[in-house]
This record gives sequence, C-alpha cells and structure tokens, in this order.
Amino acid sequence: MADFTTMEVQINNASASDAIPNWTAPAIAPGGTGGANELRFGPAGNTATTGSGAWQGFPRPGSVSAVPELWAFSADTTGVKSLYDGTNGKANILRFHGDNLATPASAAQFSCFATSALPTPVPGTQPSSPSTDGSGIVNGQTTDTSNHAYLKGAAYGPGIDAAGTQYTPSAGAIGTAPSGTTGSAGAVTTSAIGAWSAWQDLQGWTDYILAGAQWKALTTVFWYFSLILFSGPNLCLGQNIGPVLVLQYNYT
Amino acid sequence: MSLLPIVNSYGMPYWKVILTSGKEINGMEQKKVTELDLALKPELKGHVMRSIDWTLDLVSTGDVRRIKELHLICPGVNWPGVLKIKEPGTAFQFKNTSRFNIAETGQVLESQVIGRVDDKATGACTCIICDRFMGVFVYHSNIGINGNTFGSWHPRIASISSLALDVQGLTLS
Repeated sequence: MADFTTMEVQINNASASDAIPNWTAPAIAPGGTGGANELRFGPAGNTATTGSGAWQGFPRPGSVSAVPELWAFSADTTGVKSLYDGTNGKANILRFHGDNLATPASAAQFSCFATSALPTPVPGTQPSSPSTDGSGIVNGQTTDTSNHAYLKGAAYGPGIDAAGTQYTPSAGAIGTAPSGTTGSAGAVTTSAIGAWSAWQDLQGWTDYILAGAQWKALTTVFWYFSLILFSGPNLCLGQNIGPVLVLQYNYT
Repeated sequence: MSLLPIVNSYGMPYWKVILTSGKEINGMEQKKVTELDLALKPELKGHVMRSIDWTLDLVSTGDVRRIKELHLICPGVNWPGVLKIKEPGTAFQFKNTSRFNIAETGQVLESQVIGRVDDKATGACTCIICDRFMGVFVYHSNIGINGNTFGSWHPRIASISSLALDVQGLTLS
C-alpha cells in the first residue's frame, strides 16, 4: 500500500512570526486520547499547560465574532499557542504535512464534520444544548451564518502539484476577511499554482476545499491553509462542540 | 472450478490480482526490498521488507498490463468480488481514506475500490467497492475523462473528479 506514513497538521508557533514561521513543534498526528494530539480553539486565558478538561470555553457572543486563539496540544497539558488570531491577517497559520511515501490517486480535499462518522450536514439545524459534537458549528444557523458552517477555511494552491512543485505562501493577509455568512455551495477549488483560494465555509462535502492539482507520487507535501472559527448568539451551547477537520484523499 | 470463500483476518479490505502467467499478487503481501525498490524509493533505505505496492510492483514492472483477474477481498469470510480483465491496461484500484483533526484525531480507511475500464474511448468503468458503512457493492462510473467525473457513492465520500492514469497504469489508447 502506498499511503502516507506521516500526515500531520503543523501550526506556526505564536513565538515566531508570519514572515519567519516556526513549524517545528508540536505537530498534530492522527490518534491519541485524553487530550493528546488536539487542536483547541478558545478565548484568551488558556495556557500551554491547561488540560482538555479545564479548557476555558469561548462565551457565546451577542453578535457573530471570531474565536481569538488556536492551540496545538501533543499531550493533554503540553501545548503551544499558534499565530492564529481570528483574522485573515496572516498567511502562515497551519499546514498539512505528508511524507514522501504515498502514491495519490486523485486530488485531495478537506472540510469539517460533526464526528468522525462523517454524518451529512443539515444546514441551519442547531442541535439541542448542551451539544456533544461539532454539528452546531458544521450546520451553521440561518441568522448567524446564512446556514453556512461557522468554521471558514482557505488553502494556498494545491500544496504541491503533479510535477512536485511546492507552493509556499508569503507573509501577509489572506484575501478579503470572511464573515460569519461567508461560504458557497460545493467545492472551492484552489488554483493549480501558488495562490490563496477564496474563503470557504467547511460544511462536510456540501461546502469544502478541493486541491487544484493532484500531488506527485512519493513526494513530501506541505499544504498551507488557514481557519477562522466564528461563534454567534444562535450557536448551540456545549462543552465539546469542536468539529472534526477531515482531510480525505485516495491512494493506490 | 468454483471460487471458495476467503478468510481475511486483516480487518481491512484489499486487492489481489491474478496475472496471465497464473501468478497471484495481493496488496497485503510483504516482500524483500530490492535495489530497484531503493532506486525508486530511496526512503526505503534501512528497511529489509516492504508492503506490496500497486505502482511499484505492478505499474513499474509492466505486470499491470498482464492482469487477468482483479479481486476484492473483504474483511471476514467472504467470496471475493472479481473483475475479469480482458483488455490490458484497464485494471485499477485505490483506497479512500479520511484523516481527522481538531475534535477527534485518527485515520480510517473509508473504502477499497477495484475497477475495470469498460470503454477506453468514453472512460466508462465498472467498480466493486468495499465501503466501511455500505459493505460491498457494484458501482458503475467513469474514470474522469471527456468531462465526466468518477463521482461519489456516499455523502461522506467527497466526489472524485478524475483518477490519475499514470499511477494506476491505465492505458486508454
């Protein structure tokens, strides 16, 4: 089988900068329990040693606004704050990193789902509070988000293309700042070369981001992307309502 | 001779081919790393054994054009799904996988797909899919040429626009 042995999400450390990013630690690999290998959104006030069970939630705002912080935890109380600040102001926030062991069979795509069972989103439908999965964020709400997901994403080109050319963004803003209602039906397909896609809401395979080229076989890939999580007065309440970010691809 | 059910204790579906020579190769086999392997995949240096790889072991060797039958072996005890390959260069297979992050982390194999191009001009194909939720079924589609797409067989599988002909070893001319 020719799958990636390593396919992880890396964050740009907040102690670095957009112009000179630091992607070295911690990388978030698939797997882990008890608060390990997690990306956590939240308000100011959490620290690098705040455990998953004690994580401060983002109070539901009176009007739609962005959650200001994103942290990466390799273990329950071992975390690093990312450069993410809830805006489109910086390019180097997140990236997928795959090693050189895979043979992709088609272009990759990513989006968000309520759980790892990948249930089909129901746009505009909020679960009862307190919710225990990501359906509230993924489904969106009519007033807050025009039924688009609360989580928005953008990607820089395809990452690498079929020739193996790596596309890496320069520091700076990513397009026009999205709002809670940003999103379009279907796939936002990135450019086949290095350019930021439009911002898209991440609502299952209803609204998602598709790489504009297939990755070259047996080639390391860095696919740069950014996220902005919004919250609003009509988002369900709950202690663990984070969505599941899903990278889906085919290999031989 | 009738097919017998196969015991698949791997817990995941996989492909198997029978070549025109009678030789059988399956996607779960392990084999010794060779000099050719190292030339094609330098990262195998230091490894003694490796998994069988469709592109490395069938496409690179030309055996992909000598496939007589393509089988899908599902988990448990099952009769294999079988596609007879009458025309060289029309067999393909791939796996669809999802990797998770943020609220849950992990990876899951969504489906194993085997397929045969039935019409090289149009790209029409017949597939047998073992899907983690849907089980085993036949799927008629297109490999994604002439403005067609391969598509999706379930809402949780993102629509696939086209398959890479080179890594699959497909020859349409």
